[in-house]
Amino acid sequence: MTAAPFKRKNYLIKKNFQLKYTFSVALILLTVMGASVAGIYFGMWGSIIENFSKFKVSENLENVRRIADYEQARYAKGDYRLEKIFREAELLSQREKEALKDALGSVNRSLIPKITILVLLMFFGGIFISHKIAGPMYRIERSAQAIREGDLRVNFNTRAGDEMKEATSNLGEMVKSLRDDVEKIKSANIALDSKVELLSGCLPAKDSQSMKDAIGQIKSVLSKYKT
Amino acid sequence: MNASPSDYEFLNKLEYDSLRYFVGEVNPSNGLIKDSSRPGAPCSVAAVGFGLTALCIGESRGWLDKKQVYDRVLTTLLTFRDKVKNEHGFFYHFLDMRTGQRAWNSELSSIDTALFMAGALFAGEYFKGTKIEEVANELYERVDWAWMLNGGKLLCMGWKPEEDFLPYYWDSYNEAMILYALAVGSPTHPIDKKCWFEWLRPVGIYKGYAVVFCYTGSLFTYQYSHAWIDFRKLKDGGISYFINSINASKANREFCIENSNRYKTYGENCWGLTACLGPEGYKGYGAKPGEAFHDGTIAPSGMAGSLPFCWSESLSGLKFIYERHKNFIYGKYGFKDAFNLDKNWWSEEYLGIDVGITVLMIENYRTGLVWDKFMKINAIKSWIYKCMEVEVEEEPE
Repeated sequence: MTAAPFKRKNYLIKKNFQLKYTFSVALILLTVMGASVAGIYFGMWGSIIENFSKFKVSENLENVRRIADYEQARYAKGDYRLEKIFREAELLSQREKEALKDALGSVNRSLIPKITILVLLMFFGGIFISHKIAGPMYRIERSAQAIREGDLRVNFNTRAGDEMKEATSNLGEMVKSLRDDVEKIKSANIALDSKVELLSGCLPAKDSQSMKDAIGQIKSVLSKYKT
Repeated sequence: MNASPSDYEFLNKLEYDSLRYFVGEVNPSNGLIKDSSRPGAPCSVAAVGFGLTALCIGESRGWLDKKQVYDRVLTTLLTFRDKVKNEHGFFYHFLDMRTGQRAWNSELSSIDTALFMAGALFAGEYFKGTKIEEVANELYERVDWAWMLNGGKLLCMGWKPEEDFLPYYWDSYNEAMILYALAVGSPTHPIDKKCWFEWLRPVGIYKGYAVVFCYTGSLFTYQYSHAWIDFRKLKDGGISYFINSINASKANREFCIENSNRYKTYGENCWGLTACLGPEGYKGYGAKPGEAFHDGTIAPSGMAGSLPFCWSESLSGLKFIYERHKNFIYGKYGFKDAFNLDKNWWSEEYLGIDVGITVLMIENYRTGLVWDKFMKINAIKSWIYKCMEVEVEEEPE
């Protein structure tokens, strides 16, 4: 009989933690999306809508017609109606191209600072948020290293707002318990050493020496642990 | 001034209301003035020339605060010096109100640049010894008038980057006398004084009035140069352009009276055929002598611009239109541009150059302020010295 493959049944192992960070990430993305949409809408489409609105086109047509009228009053001697129509159409087309070009240029110019701000916001926001996790992890890693080297005096303090408070608290309890046990063993070994010293006259020299060696070994091992 | 107190009151109101255009239809951040009160209208550099002068008039009358006028005029001149694109110092006819860049594909215009320069130099003289005078002179001295000759002896009407020089020249009598005067009088890029004598001076007679005429017969051509230059004591080969404008104004009035049976608008108190808006758009309306294209449309600015030439007829006409049609034709900036009774058409717009000529000519009629200041400008003195004869008043016996 083969074991059934492991299936994760609960995706919300730490519900509060996961929901909190899901919300944070979503908020950042929504902010970015909102700013981008607003920038594009008000920057590009706003300008295009304004320039191509019925009112604006009507204003532009009137401007073109008026300028053509001025030129005709000043320069032309006769009826240039057909030429004028073509010229107006050409002017209008040129004007709309300029308006579109201006609108795109304006959007590009306005988007650059917005994108820069958003990137900086995401960068510093990411650092800030990840620091809440990375900080405790760094301290756990450093404390584990110290424990590996025998220093049982370490603690797992966390700062306000840090994540993994429960895990660090448990680790702290574990180290404290270990430290207490090592202390007790150290005390017991010292007591044992004095008893052996007292009993050394009653014991065969070989046995006495053998016990002293064992105590010395225990002492040597315990001496690596700082408590 | 020979007008009665009620006339004075009417002119005061018309001048004040018209002047408000140059306060209301402006972009305060750069001083650019709209060609027309129509929404979306571009800036007209000629309207700016009239506006600079009008603002100073407003200050002289105590209607506008001196510091505000100074700041606005300086802002405008700095915009033209530093932001508005120029070619050899000339400006495009129409500009974007926001950016100051060329609007549509309008031409680099010699006459509109000259009208702007007239306003700038007047403001420089009005605020003599200030930064305004310095910048105005800088703008004027930057203009390479000789370039606009295009290698010939007559000033070209304009230039486009896409087409080079336009095939039209200021080759006959018209509003361009001020252009030639400023070009001849330039201390930096003058044209030869011979150019002044190159353009034609055709003479036509209508109803007994002999006129050196413009081919369109538009009244504004007899007014614009006179808005700044005081021609009263100047002669050009025996021609007095001041008397010429008197005759042209009276001939224009006679032409309207003559045609009053064809068009309801015309009459002895409703005349002044000049370029303006009409039922079919902007047209170069005019009277004889000249082509005399007309359709019954009258612009009150035609009569207002002739106030110094025939004050009685002009004033009567302006008051007549005001009293009879003020509900349709008079608004926040004085008279709207034009109307046509036959077609029951009333302009809803004000044109910057038309309210501009109204303000300047009322002021010249009342005090001669613009003439007095402008005639003190060195460039104008230089042009007079080179091209004109000055009448000397005889001592009374």
